[in-house]
Amino acid sequence: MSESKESVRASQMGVGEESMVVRLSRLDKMLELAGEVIIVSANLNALSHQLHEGMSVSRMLSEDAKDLAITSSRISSDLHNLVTDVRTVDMSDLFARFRRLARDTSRRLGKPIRFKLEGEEICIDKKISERIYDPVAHQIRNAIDHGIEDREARQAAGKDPVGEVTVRVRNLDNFTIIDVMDDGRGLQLDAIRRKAVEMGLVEESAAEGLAEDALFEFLFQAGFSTARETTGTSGRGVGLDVVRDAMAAIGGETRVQSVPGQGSTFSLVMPLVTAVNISDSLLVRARNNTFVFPISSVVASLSVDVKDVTTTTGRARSIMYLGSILPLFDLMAVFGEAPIEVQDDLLRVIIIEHKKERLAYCVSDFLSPQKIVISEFDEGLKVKGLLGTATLSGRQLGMVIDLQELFALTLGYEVEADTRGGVGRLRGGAPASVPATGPKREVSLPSPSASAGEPAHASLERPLEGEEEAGEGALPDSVFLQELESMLGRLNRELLALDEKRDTETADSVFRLMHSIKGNLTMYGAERPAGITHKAESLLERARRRALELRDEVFDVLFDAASYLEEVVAAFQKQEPAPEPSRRLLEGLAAYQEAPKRPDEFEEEQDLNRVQVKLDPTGEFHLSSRRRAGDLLFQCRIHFEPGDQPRFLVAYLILRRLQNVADVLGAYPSLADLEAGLCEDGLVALIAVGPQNLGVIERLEQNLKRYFGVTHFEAQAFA
Amino acid sequence: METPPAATGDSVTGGELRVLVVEDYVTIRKAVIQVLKTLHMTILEAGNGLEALEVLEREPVDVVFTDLVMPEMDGFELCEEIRRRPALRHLPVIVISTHRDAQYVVRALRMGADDYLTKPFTAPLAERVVERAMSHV
Repeated sequence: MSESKESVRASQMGVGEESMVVRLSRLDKMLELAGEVIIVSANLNALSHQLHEGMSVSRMLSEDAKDLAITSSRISSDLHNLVTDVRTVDMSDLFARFRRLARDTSRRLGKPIRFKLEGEEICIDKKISERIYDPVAHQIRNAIDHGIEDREARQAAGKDPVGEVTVRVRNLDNFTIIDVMDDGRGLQLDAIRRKAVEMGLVEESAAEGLAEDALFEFLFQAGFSTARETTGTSGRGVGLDVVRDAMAAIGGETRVQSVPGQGSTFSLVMPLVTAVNISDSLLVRARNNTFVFPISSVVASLSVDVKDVTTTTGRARSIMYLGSILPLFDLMAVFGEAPIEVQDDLLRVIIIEHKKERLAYCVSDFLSPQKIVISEFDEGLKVKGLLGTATLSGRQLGMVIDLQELFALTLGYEVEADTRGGVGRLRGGAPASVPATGPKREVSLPSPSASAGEPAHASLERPLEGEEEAGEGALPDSVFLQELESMLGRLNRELLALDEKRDTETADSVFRLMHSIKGNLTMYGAERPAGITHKAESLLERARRRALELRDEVFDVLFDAASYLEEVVAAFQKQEPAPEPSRRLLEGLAAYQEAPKRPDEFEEEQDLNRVQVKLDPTGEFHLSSRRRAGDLLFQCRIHFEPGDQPRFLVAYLILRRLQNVADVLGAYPSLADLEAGLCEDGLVALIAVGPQNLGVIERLEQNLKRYFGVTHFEAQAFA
Repeated sequence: METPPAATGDSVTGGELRVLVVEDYVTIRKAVIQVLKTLHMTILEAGNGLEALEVLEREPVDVVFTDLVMPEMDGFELCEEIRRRPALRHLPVIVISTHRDAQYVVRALRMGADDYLTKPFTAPLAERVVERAMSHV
């Protein structure tokens, strides 16, 4: 991985704050250290406690130690929060990309929609933000393509003919949730059922009885799509199974809600911060072992009278909790050890929830919650059901539960190694079905099974894979890439702003930005992409002076160009060569390049409104204070061949020559344009000449034609 | 008139234009002079802006060709200085440079240069530029 991916631009955190580029690997180290400090302070706390209880002599000392411990834990916790915060970015860049995608999809399908975004201010981990674009993009495309009905169908159903798709980002507890909602037709249960039977995923007879939740589960099977035919938009070989994999890779999960006729919501749920493995945990003892559960997974810890445990046929046990029956397991037995011996008539039970499934485990004892730092098992040393170990105060070792695997172990999932997107199944063959947890129609879907090398399950605090030492061999290009990346983010936002406003000011701003991107790409030695930016730039150049109307088709091209540039940067980050631009992009850009004009066309096209001077002779001219009453106004149209010199230079010299003999009230291109090196074929200038000096026009024409390569000179007088 | 030390013209005849070539690299200066000589110009030489001003103070010059990047006093400063001096204000100055970007061109023009040639240039172009600079409406 290139270093730029490891860097984060602090300026993204807030406008106007001083910024610097920090390598993510360094921040991670800091986080790790912060984690260690937390442990030390916990130990200090424990020590001060012991001092307090044991040695009355050193009461003073123990008070000091206690203060110290409190201070140290406060500092370490602040440090952790700060560093975590530094790694986050808000949603603005992603939102701009989503908006562009929605626009693009809607246009391509000819399906107008209202697209709403909520929660731009929500900050997420920089690395997470890089990884959620694709899954969310997939859902947005799906919603527009399959979710939203066509106009006629909507009207027939008495709905607003324009469909609505909303992306909402919110924080809930320790999770960030991205909902992609549409007000379309909802998931078609019958179609899913039929397809599942067709694909042989379920017997026809069994399919009838399958609950909605179980049916939705099929959507996540590889190759499953309810669309009769794949459209160019959604049929990109990316299915929901890939979305779920992508989410699982960042410790997240996918949920579906759907109401027929009213729409669907796909929710991508991911842990708030996955930067480092510090987590609030609940500790339990099971015989001599200490197990660590993420506190967010613990629904309740309770003591249950042995009499209240129901034992059904065989040895399956269950308890009642808040009106639902929960299967009860022995934590040690799950790990294949001898079961816990019950000392009295009370069972210590914890209820654990994972992906909306709840299971009860009996343990020996509960310990107090702690902040812990997890050391994950190295590859190959992994113990099934455990994520790693944690150093606890008192130098004890805790075993950190891997929820996904624990549930799999408990329920007897067959965890198929190496099958990406394979679904964990009960040995019986039907999708897992555990007593429902509530009346909500929200369905949880089992995460894809873990493959051997890459555990892809929902452990809450695990870091992303492969981040560790990758950033070391820093590339000299990383700063350029970093720069480019942030420019592309801006480009996206500004293009969208331009799409909304369609004004020259924004066009000018995008033009300048595109110019900078071109410069950056050129420095990077990326000639092909730089060529694309050059074409986009000249298109924008025309747009900013209204020589090109900003129609939707123009935006198609501009957005295509932006997508291409994103692909280029992504390729560079992977140290791959820039991809070839698509034919569509090349053709699109070519369509809006200015054809070289012949003089007669030049006459036709020149519109003096562009000169930014009102040509109404009765109007006011503010450009020249030197203009005297009685001066005659001439609009000079000048066409020239620059010979071996740059066009803008010759135009500049011509303009200067005009200034020598007359008052130039306005010109197109303006002096500023020319100084920026911008010039097309012709030059139009509005000049004021005193009535006694009219001969100058003719002399001017002669001079320009003789010495400046002017091929066409026309001065039109105004009354 | 005494032949100035800097003059390298074959013959100093009244009809020929007297051109001052300001360029710090001798070989490049010679190459430029080679081209200008084909236009039957009388050539004077200087190695930087300061030297150029010295020549201009004692020699009549019709046109200045100056490089931009030079030690002591560069071409930009020379342009500025020429425009500042009443006696030289209308003296045509043509920049000869290897820099092609608008930034350099525009700066030179703003500093008072009349025209801008990128090296190497042809004799016809030089002639055209000189005529242009000396022409009046």
